[in-house]
Amino acid sequence: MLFPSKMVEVEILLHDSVKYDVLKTMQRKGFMHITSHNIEDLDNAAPSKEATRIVDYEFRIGKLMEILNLAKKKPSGMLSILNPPPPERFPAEPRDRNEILDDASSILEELEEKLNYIYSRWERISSDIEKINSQMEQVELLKDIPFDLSYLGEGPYVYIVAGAARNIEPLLKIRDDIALWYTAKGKKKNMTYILVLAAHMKDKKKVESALRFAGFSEFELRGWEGAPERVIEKMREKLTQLGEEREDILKELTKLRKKYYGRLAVLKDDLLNERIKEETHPKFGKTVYTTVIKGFIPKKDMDDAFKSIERAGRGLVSIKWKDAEGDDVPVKYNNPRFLWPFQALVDMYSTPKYGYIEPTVIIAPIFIAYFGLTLGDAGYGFIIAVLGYLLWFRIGKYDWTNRTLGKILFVSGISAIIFGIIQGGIFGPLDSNNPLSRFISYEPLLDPMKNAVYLLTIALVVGIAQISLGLILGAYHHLKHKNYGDFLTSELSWFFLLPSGGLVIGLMFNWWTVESNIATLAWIGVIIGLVLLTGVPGHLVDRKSDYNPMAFFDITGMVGDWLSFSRLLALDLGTSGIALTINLFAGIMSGMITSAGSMVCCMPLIFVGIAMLALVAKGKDKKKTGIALFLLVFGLVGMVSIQAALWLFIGIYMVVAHIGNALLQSLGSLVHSLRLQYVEFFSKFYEGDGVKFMPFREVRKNSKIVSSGGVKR
Amino acid sequence: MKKMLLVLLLLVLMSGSAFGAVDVKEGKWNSNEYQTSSLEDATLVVGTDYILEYVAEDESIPSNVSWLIEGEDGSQMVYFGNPIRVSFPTSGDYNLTVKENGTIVYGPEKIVVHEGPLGMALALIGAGIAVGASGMGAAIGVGIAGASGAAAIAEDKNRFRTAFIFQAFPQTQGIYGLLIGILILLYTGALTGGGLTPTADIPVGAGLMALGAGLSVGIAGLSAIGQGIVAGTGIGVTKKQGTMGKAIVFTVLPETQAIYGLLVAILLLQGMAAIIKDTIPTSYALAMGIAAIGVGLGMGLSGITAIGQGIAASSGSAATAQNPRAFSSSIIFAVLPETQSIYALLAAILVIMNLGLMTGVMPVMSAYQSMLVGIGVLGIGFSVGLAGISGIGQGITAGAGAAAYVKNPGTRTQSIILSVMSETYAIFGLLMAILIMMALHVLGG
Repeated sequence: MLFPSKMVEVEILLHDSVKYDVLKTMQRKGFMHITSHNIEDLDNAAPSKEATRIVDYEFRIGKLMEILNLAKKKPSGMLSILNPPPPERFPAEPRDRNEILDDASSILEELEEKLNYIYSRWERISSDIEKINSQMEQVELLKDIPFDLSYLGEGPYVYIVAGAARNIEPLLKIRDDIALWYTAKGKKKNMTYILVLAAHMKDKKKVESALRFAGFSEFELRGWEGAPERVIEKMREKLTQLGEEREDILKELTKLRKKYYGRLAVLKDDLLNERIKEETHPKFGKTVYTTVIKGFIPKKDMDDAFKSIERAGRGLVSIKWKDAEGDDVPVKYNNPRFLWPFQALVDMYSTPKYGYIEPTVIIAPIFIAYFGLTLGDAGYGFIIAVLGYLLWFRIGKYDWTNRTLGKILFVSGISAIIFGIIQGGIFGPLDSNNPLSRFISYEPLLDPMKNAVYLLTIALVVGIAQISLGLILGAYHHLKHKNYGDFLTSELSWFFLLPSGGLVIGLMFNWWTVESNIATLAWIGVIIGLVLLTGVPGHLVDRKSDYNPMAFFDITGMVGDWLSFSRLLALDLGTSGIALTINLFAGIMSGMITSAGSMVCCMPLIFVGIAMLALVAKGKDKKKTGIALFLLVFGLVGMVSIQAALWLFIGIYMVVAHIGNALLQSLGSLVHSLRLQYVEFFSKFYEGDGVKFMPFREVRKNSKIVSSGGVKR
Repeated sequence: MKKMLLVLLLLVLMSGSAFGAVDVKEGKWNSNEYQTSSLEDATLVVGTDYILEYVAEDESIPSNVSWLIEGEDGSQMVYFGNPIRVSFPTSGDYNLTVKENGTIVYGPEKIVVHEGPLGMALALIGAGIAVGASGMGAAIGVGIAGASGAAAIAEDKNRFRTAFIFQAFPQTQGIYGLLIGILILLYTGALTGGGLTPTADIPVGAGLMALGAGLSVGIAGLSAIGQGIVAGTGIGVTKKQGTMGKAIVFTVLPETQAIYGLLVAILLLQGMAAIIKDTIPTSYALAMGIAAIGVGLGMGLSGITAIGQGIAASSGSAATAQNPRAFSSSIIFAVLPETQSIYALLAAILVIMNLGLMTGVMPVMSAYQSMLVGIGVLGIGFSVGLAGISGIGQGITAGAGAAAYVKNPGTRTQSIILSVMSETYAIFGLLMAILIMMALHVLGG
């Protein structure tokens, strides 16, 4: 649990006649991380001649799926986020490459031309709808200038255009040479002139020049006949017709989707896995008739893996293996299931090196505790736990990232509830400003506002404990790898300096007194620690260990790391204080309610009026309708009782402010708890930059194997 | 029986209160006019000049009068003449006795001297600085991040949500400032009906403590500028998928200074509350209030180092987006310029703990000594605070170091050495602060 899975380094030599079967088995089982062979004088294997065909088929089938997905019904509405539909996964059976390619070829022949034709129709209709909608907006602007739109364009003698201009003056200057009809839209500073202009063809250049100065943009309305109002009617008719055509296409696509999509989805995954096989080839070594595959397998899977490979290789396979060692060995996390979400936190920093400590099991409980301590409010913890639950069981039901985040937030929220109860914080301290204090009242074990010094002491004690743990883990690394010099400089020095230095500083500043022989020992400890920290003894023991010219900065850095833990208290106080302020403002507002009647008696009427106007004017805009409805409810409540409306306002304010504060402070707690792990803890022992275990395995996004012939996924 | 009546009469005569009255002449509150009232009706405050006049029972004003004013702590003030000019050095209860030709003619009478409005005025200034300075920092930081957000949405409108999230980070400093401002108003009672009145019993020491708290959280709130810089980069780099989490970690780093500012401010407010509750003697509280300004200045000024951290973290965020494996090294570069504010925090905690600024458990020293110590602490604040700004220089080098690491991972150690050079001056600042502490006997005393 504290170390990644043990790995074995494997070299497989196989005859090319069984290569495909072995690769197929390896991909199904997904037990091996394949690496480049690195064998001198051995060529890299090339992809097979079918590779190009596989890529081509995969692309074309993907395109067909995209077209069919036009008819896919997408969930809508707020609640659909909380109840997402399961991803479409179609049943698949293991197939050989030839079967896959034949099937792909057959379905493409059957479907491709037809679907491409349907898609070209779909695109044309969509483009026409978009164009007509845009033209309709332009014709709407021309309603005030009644003329037949078919006149627009150039004839042998006349030139007629319609459009919008920012400045009318250049056109008025040539008014004697043209016929001009225009209307002005908008306010003074942002005036637009909608105009229709007719001129003789001989004046066309002069008119075009004036139009440029006028900032003219022409309406492209050719092809329509009749006055603007009549054209709008025609456009609506055309849009209805196009809409019906589009519906017909969707119906046709729905039928085709139902019939073919499952087959296409399985094929897409099959082809993807064939492509992965081909793309792995350059990592293999190649002789005339044989192929060499190198990589790493977790030791616990080794026996099963070898049996499977030998079975697939039919006696034409030779396997060599040894215990893996070195920096390039991939790291496979080895934690119980409940710790998996927290692996992401370690991985975000850097994948640990193989053979070194993988600290998920250590940081998971510490992180949860720090989150709870820094948030320190049961109410906020409840909000975070609910959010975590929704992400875990609802929103993230079929989404790994959301599910992982949900699990972390859920347990962190529970931790905050526990610490909140200990610290007496439920949506702020349970003092007279907190409305909950009427129902819940008890003496908290540790009130952060009253016991700030005590909490600061706890934070600093926790800090020194975690730093010491980091040093112990670092010492373990150095001793295990026989880096005795680095052990002396980086860890043993601190094992002397931390206790004896602390004792000496306390003596110097008269914080405490001890017997003289203990003081002498402490001084000796300090001197030994300082000497060790310079790196000189380490270098004498092990020449590979460097001197430490930054020894002084190491001391200041260690003090900094330690004091950095005081943020645990500061964040706790911050959450508590801001929640208190929210409650305080609510209290002040509620105090004003009794005198508010005469001051704001007309406000409900104003709200109702604004809401009604907004509902009439902006009935189609959902957001504005929502705001208008809110104002309407608020205003109506106020008309019945102004006090009730103000209480409603205070209630809404408290809910919004506390949820906002909970989210903001939780983000702070999350990131600062993480930072204490990354900066102050990991810096003492963690060896990152490892290689992540990426097994060569099947990838199925649209399908799942139902009859796998013994394949356990 | 006759003897008893005689003794009773003698006692009445000795009590003296029946012989006359003392009038007080003072400037009217909120006015240039003077008013005269009887001592019983007057509201006396610290530091104000009062003219006391003894008026005999027959309404004559005798001149051969001596005055004895005894404080709670045993101090005595003696005046001769009538009327006299008096100023009370500290708040609390006093006993006044007036003698005419050696005979007690008034008192001993208990008089109450209030703290006056100065403490409240200082506390209100503290609240103003807390909100004003931190608001300034937050607004600049939010502005920088917002500009980056505007550029991002110009490219892709759907990135508004990301821009909005990152723009929210530098707002926290403003919230911390507002929190301290509100707490000051709450503790002083200004929020619940109290205000700038002669009877606002906020000791000057408490007002100075609030001022220190305001300086700490307010100036440290300028760290939002650094956070805005890195938030702006965060908006830019998150265009690349999978970079959000790491960009958030970098963005939160320069908030540390604001958190330390908040921590010190809250610790100082605990001291303010202790002074208001009269658990710290007035003379000592005044000195500690001055010391609190030193502590607040030190913590606040050193918070400006976050601008350096913002530069380094911004570079680290960009480097990580370019190469995700650079995350751990970039974090190391980004936290280097934080050290300066840790030095200030260390100095602040040492002063707060050793002078009993929070608890009222103070070292034994005279009022004069305590005043000197309080003023001396200002030197500590300037030393760690101003030297702490060296973090900006360190941030510039560390930022370049993070970029260099991505280009050539072998440069990590050398870049760290180059980066820590600027820290030397912060160490000088800390060293000087410790030497001042020792000179003031705050340490080793």
